[in-house]
Amino acid sequence: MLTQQLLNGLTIGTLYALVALGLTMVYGVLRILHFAHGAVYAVGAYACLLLLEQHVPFGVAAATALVVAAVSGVLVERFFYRPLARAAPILPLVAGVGVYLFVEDGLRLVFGPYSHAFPVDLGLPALAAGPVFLTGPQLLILGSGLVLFPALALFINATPLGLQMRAVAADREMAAASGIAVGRIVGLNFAIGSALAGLAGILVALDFNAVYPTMGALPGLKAFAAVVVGGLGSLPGAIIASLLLGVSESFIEGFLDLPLGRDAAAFLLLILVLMLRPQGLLGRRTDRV
Amino acid sequence: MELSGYQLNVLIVAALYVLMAVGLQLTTGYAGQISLGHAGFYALGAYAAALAATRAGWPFLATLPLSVLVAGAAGALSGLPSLRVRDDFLAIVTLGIGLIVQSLANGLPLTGGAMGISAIPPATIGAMSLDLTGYALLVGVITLLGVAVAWWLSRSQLGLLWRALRDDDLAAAAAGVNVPALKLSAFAIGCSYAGLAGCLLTYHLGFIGADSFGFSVSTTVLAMIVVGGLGSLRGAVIGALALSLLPELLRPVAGARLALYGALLALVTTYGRGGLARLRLPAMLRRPADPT
Repeated sequence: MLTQQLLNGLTIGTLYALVALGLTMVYGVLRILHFAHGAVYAVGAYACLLLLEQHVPFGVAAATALVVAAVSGVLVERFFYRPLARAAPILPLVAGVGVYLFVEDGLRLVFGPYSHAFPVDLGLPALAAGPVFLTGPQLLILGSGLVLFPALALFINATPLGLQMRAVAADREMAAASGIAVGRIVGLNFAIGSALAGLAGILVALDFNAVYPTMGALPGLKAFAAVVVGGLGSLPGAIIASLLLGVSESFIEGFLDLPLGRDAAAFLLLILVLMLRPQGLLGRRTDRV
Repeated sequence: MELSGYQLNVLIVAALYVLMAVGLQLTTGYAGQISLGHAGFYALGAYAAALAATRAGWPFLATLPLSVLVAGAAGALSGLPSLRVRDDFLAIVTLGIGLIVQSLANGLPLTGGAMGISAIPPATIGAMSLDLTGYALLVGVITLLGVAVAWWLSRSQLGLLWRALRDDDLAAAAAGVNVPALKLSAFAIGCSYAGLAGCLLTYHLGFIGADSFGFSVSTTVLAMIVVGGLGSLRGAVIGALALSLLPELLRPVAGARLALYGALLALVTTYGRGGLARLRLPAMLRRPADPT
C-alpha cells in the first residue's frame, strides 16, 4: 500500500515536473511567470488527439503534437511577452492569464466541453510485482522522467547551446554583449519547455484516457507551486519539488480525509513556503521574491 | 419602461460586476496590489449572508454589513503575503487563496458541500418584501452608493497614499508612509466590495453553490478593469458594464464570453494604451484641459 502510493505519487510528480521545467526555464531567462503554460499542455494533448483520430500512427502523431506545442509556446512569447519585455513583470503574467483563458475556452468552443477518449492502445505491458501494480502508461511516464531529466541536465550543463542558455539566464545584457543571440535563446527555452509541457499533456491523456478543455488548469497551477517551492529558476529544485508535491498529494488522498481538496492543499503549501522561505527550498537568497 | 425578468437579471448581474470591479480597481488599479482571487471574497460575502440568514435568521439589512466585514477582514488577512512577496508572486498567492476558499466551500459540511445552501429567504426591508423590480432598484442604489464611496476614497488622503505606493513603494516608504498598513487597507477595502456583491448575489439567486466562485470569475473581473483602464474608477465601471452587457447584446458571442474576455485581457494588456478610460475623445467632447 505504501509503496503503491509512493509510486502513484512519483508518477503524478513526474508529470508536474515536465510542466514545471518549462516554467522554470522561462523564469530563468525572462524572470516572468508564464501563466499560459497550462494552455500549451492542453494544446499538445488536443493536437495529438486530432491526429490519432485521423489514424496517424501514435509515434508520428505525438512527435507532431510536440512540435505544435513548441510552436505555440514560441508564439505566445513572440506576440505577448516580447512586447512587454520592459514592463513590470506583472503585465506579462496578466497577459498570460488572458491567453490561457482564451485557449481554454477556445478548445471548449471548437471541440466541445466534454472529455474525449484518447483513441490509442500502445499495448504497453503492465508491471505487477507483489502488492505493487503499475499500468503501462504509468511506466511510460516514469520512464520518460528517468530519461528526460538527466538528458535535459546534460544538455544545459554540457553543450554549447546549454552554456548560452545559462549565460542568458545569468545576465541578459552581458550575454548579448558577448555575442549571444538572446532572442533566439529565449525562443529555444520556450520551444523546449513547451514541448515538455505538450509531452506531459499527451502522457496524461494516455494515462487517464481523457482529453478535455480545462485539463491544463490544475497541472499548470501545480507546476507554479512546484517552481516556487523548489526555488525559482532552479531546475533540480523544480523536479524535486514536483516529485514531493506528487507524493504528498498521493499520501494525503490515500490516508487523510481533509475538507480541503488536494489541489487547494498544494496551494496552502505554496503560500506557507512563500511566507516562511521566499527563496524556495533550493533557491538562492538573491532570488528572493 | 417595463423591463422583462430576464433583462432585470442581466442588469442585477452587471451591477454586481460593477461593485466587484470597483473593489478590485481600488486594490489593483489604485494601490497596485494584484489579486487573482477576487472571487474568493465574493464567495465569503455570499456564504456569510447565506449562513446568517438560514442558520441564525438574520434579516437582509443585517447581513449586508456582515458580508462586508467578513470579506474585508479576510481581505486584510490575505493581504499579508503582499508584505513578503513581489507582485507577480502575489498574483499566484491570491489565486491560491481564491482556490482554497472555493475548495473549502465545496468540502465543508457547514457550507453544504457540493449541494450549496438553498432556501435563502427573499430580501425584505422591515415588513416590506421586494419583488424582482424592487430588488433590482435596491441593487442599483447600493451599487451607486458603492461607486460614490470609492470615488470619495480615491480622492481622499488614502487614495493619494495608495497611488504613491503603486507608483514607487520604496519612495513612499522613504517619505514616511506606512506601507504595510496601506497594503492591508487596500486589500481589506477592495475585498469588502466583493463581499457586498456576494451578499447581494445570495439574495438574488436564493441559492448559492461553490461553482459560482471559480477562477474564471476572478479573471473576468480582472479583464473588466484592464479593459476599462487600470487606475481609473470610470474605467472600472465602463469595463464592468461593457463586458457584462456586450455578450447579452451580441447573442452570437454570448457562448464565447470567456474566450472573448481572455483575448481582450491579453490584447489590451500587451498592446492597449490604458484601456477604454484612456481612449482619446473627439476634441468637442473633451473637457478643457485641467489648468494644473
